[in-house]
Amino acid sequence: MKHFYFVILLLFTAPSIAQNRNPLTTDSLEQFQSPSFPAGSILGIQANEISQPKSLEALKLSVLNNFLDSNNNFAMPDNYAIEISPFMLSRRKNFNYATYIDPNFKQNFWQNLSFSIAATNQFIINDTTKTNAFSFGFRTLLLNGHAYKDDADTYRKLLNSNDRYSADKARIMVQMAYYAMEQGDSFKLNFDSLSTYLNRELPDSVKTFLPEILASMRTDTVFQKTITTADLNTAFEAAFDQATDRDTRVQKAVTMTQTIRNERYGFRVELNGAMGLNFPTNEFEYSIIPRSGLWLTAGYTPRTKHQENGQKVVDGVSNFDFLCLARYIWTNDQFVRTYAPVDSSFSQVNDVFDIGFRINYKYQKFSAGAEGIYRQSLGDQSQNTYKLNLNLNYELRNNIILTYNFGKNYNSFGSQGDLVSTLSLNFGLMSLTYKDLKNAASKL
Amino acid sequence: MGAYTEKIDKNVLVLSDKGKNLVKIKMDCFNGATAKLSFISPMHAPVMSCGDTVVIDTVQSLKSKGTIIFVMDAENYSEQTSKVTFTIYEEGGNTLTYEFPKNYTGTPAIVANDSSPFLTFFCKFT
Repeated sequence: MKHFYFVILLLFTAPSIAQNRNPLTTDSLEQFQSPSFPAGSILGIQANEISQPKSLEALKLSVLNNFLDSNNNFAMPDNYAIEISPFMLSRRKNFNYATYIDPNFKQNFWQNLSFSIAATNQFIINDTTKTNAFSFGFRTLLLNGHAYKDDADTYRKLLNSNDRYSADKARIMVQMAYYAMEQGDSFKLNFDSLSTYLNRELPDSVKTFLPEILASMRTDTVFQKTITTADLNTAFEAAFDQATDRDTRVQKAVTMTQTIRNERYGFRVELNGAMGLNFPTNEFEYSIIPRSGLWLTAGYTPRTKHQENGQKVVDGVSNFDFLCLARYIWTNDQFVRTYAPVDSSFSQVNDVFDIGFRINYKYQKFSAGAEGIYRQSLGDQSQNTYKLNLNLNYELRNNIILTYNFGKNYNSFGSQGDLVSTLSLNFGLMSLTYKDLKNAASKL
Repeated sequence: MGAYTEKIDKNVLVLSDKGKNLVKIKMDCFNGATAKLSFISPMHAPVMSCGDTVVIDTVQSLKSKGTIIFVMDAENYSEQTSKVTFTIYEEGGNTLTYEFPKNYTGTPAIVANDSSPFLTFFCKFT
């Protein structure tokens, strides 16, 4: 038990230490959300089943279940879930603001793909036998809504402008380097000859600043003696950056990135899949897959407009968002008949089709959600059932959320009742930060 | 922020004798860097971006040209070190990987943690 207290203490204090070291690197770009792991859902250890579209954390950890036992003593939790994002743990090749705010389908799929594992040592079968069970899940976003239009448009213009300058700079220098190569390893630069060469080889579209750049280079004392290609490269860069006011352009992009708003609006669609694994005899050699599932969660977050400083109408995102679920679950009926798992979500012996709806509300550090799921048995219609759940979340601090669930579970043929009442703690680690994205984009 | 010029004989790619084979270049950016790369070739647009793979030319044409000049301009507003890899390869043949700043040996010396390098480098095709 001491070890558990120590782990909890460590998890609470570690983010604090990191923030003190470098606030910029821990300024999470996306708000950490309440827990929703596909793996936890298929195993029946997660109260809320309709997940909000995932946020970009490299690693999420959830301790599910009550912290108090029946005597109100602090109890070791029985259920755990962890979710990792391969992309967030990778080197994030070619990832920048453009691929974050306006990803194509492939980027969306890969950036948001995550895998989860849930485990419980309280998977009860045959009324009283406690067994171990695991589940494995995945999820990713197929549609990811839209970022704030104002931000995206302004950013797009600035970054496109910067990209054009970078492209022109590289194109001019390529021609200068070929000119230098023709002159030999070291040479005395003839500006008139260089100017004629560049005007002949370069298209008009990149010549805008050429006279100013060459005039500036003429004043550089390095050209009073024999030079190399490296000297030419250095002098050209200084002249180009001065002529195009690079410092101001870069500073604008830095400032804009720091003030970007991260909420997204519109339609988001998430694909989920999961498979459970039970060890009914608690022996490693003997395991059974009780069930597996595949489902889609579609969400819609309305876009709003409001007055800012009494004048400007600004795009915003509603505090409400709406989600619906369509899920197919394959059930191993032989497992259910043989071992009679107590958890009411396993009450069906047939495959089931779930349809659900969820509404979320968020205000500052508090959020709440209510969901209902109708479960249709694809064999015996009399086994149709439903589930209702109220979900309350409070963000204790950055990336740590305390969650309480209360509701009615699916009808059960077991004797455990259908009341849901759980408290859980959720940790988001290594989330996406401003520093990860404070980069100009080249593909908007 | 620095202007760097790699040694002209730093990168050499040995090509096969299959003259119609295509030689390509891929540019990947890390640490949040974005970059533009330009070189002169009749077979592609004059500028490429991070993540792009484009044809440089055929083996036959590159053997006659000898050396191709590449110029990259990178930005990284996070002030992290810009890291860019260039993979030059003949389809079905040899591959050359040049990573900046790790493999840089040119003039002047690297400024520590340079977020906005401006690099000229060469590749000799034999």
